[in-house]
Amino acid sequence: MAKRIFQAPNFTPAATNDTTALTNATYMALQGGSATQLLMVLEIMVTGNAGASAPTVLQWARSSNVGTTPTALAAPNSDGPAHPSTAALAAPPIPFVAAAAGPQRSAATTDARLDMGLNAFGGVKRWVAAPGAEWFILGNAASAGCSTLSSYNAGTPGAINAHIEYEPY
Amino acid sequence: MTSKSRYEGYLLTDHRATQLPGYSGIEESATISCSHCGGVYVKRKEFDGSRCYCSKCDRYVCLPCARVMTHPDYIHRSFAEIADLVRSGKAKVNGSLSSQTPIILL
Repeated sequence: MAKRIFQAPNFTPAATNDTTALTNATYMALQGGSATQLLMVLEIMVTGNAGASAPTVLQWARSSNVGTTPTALAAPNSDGPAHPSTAALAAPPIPFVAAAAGPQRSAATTDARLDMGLNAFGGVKRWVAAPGAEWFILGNAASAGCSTLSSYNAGTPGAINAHIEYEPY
Repeated sequence: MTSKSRYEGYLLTDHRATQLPGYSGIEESATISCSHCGGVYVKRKEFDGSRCYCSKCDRYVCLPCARVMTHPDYIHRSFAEIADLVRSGKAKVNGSLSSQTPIILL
């Protein structure tokens, strides 16, 4: 397949408890486009936009409830292939920042989470996977089928920009 | 001779522009990917020489998956094997991949 980049500029995460539906435009979520789709996440980068100190406890985490009826991305958010001649996918992955019912961050102690916390007042956070050691999203059902970049219920989140590079299979 | 460090990812935290006490530095960490659940964790020194390793995969695993591996009924399945089953339509994932029975055969 081909690498794709999902990005969202200048949004402010909301400090939200686990197992609580995330509010529209406060998160980035990536969900499988079918029950058999595999998404391989290669890189996550977050940069802070806030004009004052804003501890933002971002987490890249699995979802105990996937998003219901995700809303198609609208500008300035985007998702597209890194290679210009990439063919259209039969089952496009579902990147979204809004849904009829937002995804819920899993509270299971056995589910993976990656700490992407930073001070949004000029902070930069970047995670890059080694080849063969990526983060995987499998299918489109909880908890492996949807991962979110969202703020844990702590701190005072500030505006951030982020991109997620991934590859569907 | 290969090394497990070839699977280490890279996590950068750069707060040099923050200009606040406690947020002024730059920090780099290694991350590891669990061979059994496909999740990513910041590598801490307790991973070295610990039970968070699967000799069948020759890869790191996370602590929840390492706990599951100690169960007497445990059946070894790497994430790649589970992904193959799901993608072929022969199985689907039920709940956490780190649980004792994360997949259902259809």
